Amino acid sequence: MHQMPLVLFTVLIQASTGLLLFIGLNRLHPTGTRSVATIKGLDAPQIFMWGLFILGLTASLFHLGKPVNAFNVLRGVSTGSPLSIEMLCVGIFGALTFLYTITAWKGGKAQNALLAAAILAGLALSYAVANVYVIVTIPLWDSIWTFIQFFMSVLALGALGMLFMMSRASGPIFGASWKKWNTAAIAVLLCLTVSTTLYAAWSGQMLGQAGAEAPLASLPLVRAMLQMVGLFLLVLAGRREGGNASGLYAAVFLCIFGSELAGRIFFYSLQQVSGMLQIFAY
Amino acid sequence: MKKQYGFHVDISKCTGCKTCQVSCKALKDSPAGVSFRRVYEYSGGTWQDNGDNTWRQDVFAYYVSISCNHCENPICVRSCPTTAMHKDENNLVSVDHSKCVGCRYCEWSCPYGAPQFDPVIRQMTKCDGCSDRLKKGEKPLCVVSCPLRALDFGPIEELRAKYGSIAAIAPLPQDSLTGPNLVITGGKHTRPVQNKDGAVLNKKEI
Repeated sequence: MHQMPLVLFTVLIQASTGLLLFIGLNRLHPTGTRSVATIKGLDAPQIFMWGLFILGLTASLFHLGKPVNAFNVLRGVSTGSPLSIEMLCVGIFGALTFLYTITAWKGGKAQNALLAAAILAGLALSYAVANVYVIVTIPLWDSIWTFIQFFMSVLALGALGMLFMMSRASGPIFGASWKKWNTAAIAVLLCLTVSTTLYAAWSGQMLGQAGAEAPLASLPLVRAMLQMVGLFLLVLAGRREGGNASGLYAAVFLCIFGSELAGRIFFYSLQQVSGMLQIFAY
Repeated sequence: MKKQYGFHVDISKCTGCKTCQVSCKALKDSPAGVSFRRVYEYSGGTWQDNGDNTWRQDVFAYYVSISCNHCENPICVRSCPTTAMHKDENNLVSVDHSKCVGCRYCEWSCPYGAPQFDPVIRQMTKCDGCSDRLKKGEKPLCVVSCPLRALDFGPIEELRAKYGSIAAIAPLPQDSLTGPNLVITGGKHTRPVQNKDGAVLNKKEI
C-alpha cells in the first residue's frame, strides 16, 4: 500500500495538533501551569507533541517519489492547490509551536499569545489536511465524513495523549483535575465510537449502492474493537483512586492510535474503488 | 490564442485490439503498470422475456480507447502542488520533471487516470500528445498505429466540426467535470454516460 506514509503522516500530525490544543486547555485551568512532568523545564506533553510532529513529517517524505523536490510543493499555493496549502499550514504550525516552546522554556511573557496562535494554526492545519482529500473524482472522500473523521482523530488523540502525559505527573495538581479529564476523555471517545459507527454504515451503504466491495472490509471492525478496548481501559483507569494509572492511560492511547491507523488505512483503500472504473457516477 | 488539440475515438470501429496502447508503450518505453493509453472493455446485458415462454439476450460490449484528454479545465493542473503539471506551448497537459515531486495528487484527481506514477523515475508521467512528433507535423503514434482508423487527432474545433460534440459515454465520467478535448463517435451498443447496464470487465488490464 503506497499510501502508508500518508496514513502515518495524517494520524501523527492530527495527534500533535490535538495534543497542543489540550496543552492549551490545560493552561486555562487555574492550576494548569506546569501541571505535568517536566524534562529540563519543558512540559512533557510538548516533548511528546514534538515527537509525534517530527515523526509525521518524516513519514510524509517517504510518500514523495522525489523528496529532493520537496520545497516545490509551496509553488502551488498561488494556484490554490490543497496540498500546497496543507504544507504551508504545516510550516506555520511548526514555526509558531517552536516559538511557543522556546518562549515557554525561557518563561517569556508572550507564551500565552503564542500558544493561542499555535493552537489556531493547528486547527487550520487539521482542516487543510482533511481538505486535501475532498476530491470530486473520489466520491467516498468527497464528503463531510472526511472532515468528521479527521477532526475526531485530532480530539481523541489529543485528549488521550494529554491524559497519558498528565498521569505521569506527581503531586497534588494532577490529583485535583484528573477525574474531570478522565470524564472528558470518555465523552470524546464515545463521540469517536459513534462517528466511527455512522461512517462505517455510510461507506457501506455507498459501496452497496455501487455494487462494489471495500478492499479492506475488516478494518472498520478492527477499529471498533480497538475503540471498545480503549474505552473499557479508560473507564477502568478512572476508577483508580488518585489517578495512579499511567500504564492504563498509555494502553488507552495506543489502542486509539491503533484504531485511527486502521481507520485511515481503510479510508485510503477506498480510493481504489473510484475514478475511471465508474463504480460511482459523479 | 493557442490552438487546442484533442482526440477523436470512433467506438463503432474499435475492436479493442490495443495496438494503440502497445505502440504508445513501445514509443515511450513505459515500465510495467504504466499505460498512457488504455482500452476499457465495457460490457453488460440481460435476459428479456418475449412473453411467449421464450427469452432472448441483449448482451453488448464495446471498447473505449482513452488517454489524456488535455482538458479545457484540467483538474490535475489545478491540484498539482508544484505547478509541474501544466499546459505546454501546444496547450497539451504536460509534466515538468524538474518540478515534479512525485506526490501522486494529480493521479487521485484525474477522473480518466491519465497521470501515472513511473516507479523507475519516481515521478508522474502522462500522455503529452506526442509533442515531439507534433513538432514534425506528425500525429501521435497511437492514432497512426490504429489498424481500424478508430482514432484521430487534431485541432479540437476541426474534430468537433467533423465528428460532432459528444465527449462522454459510459464508462467515462461526465465531461462537465474537466471539459475534455475529446470527441466520441458512438456505436450500435454505446451506452450514455452514467449508465449502469454494464461494467468495465478488464480492470486488471488498466
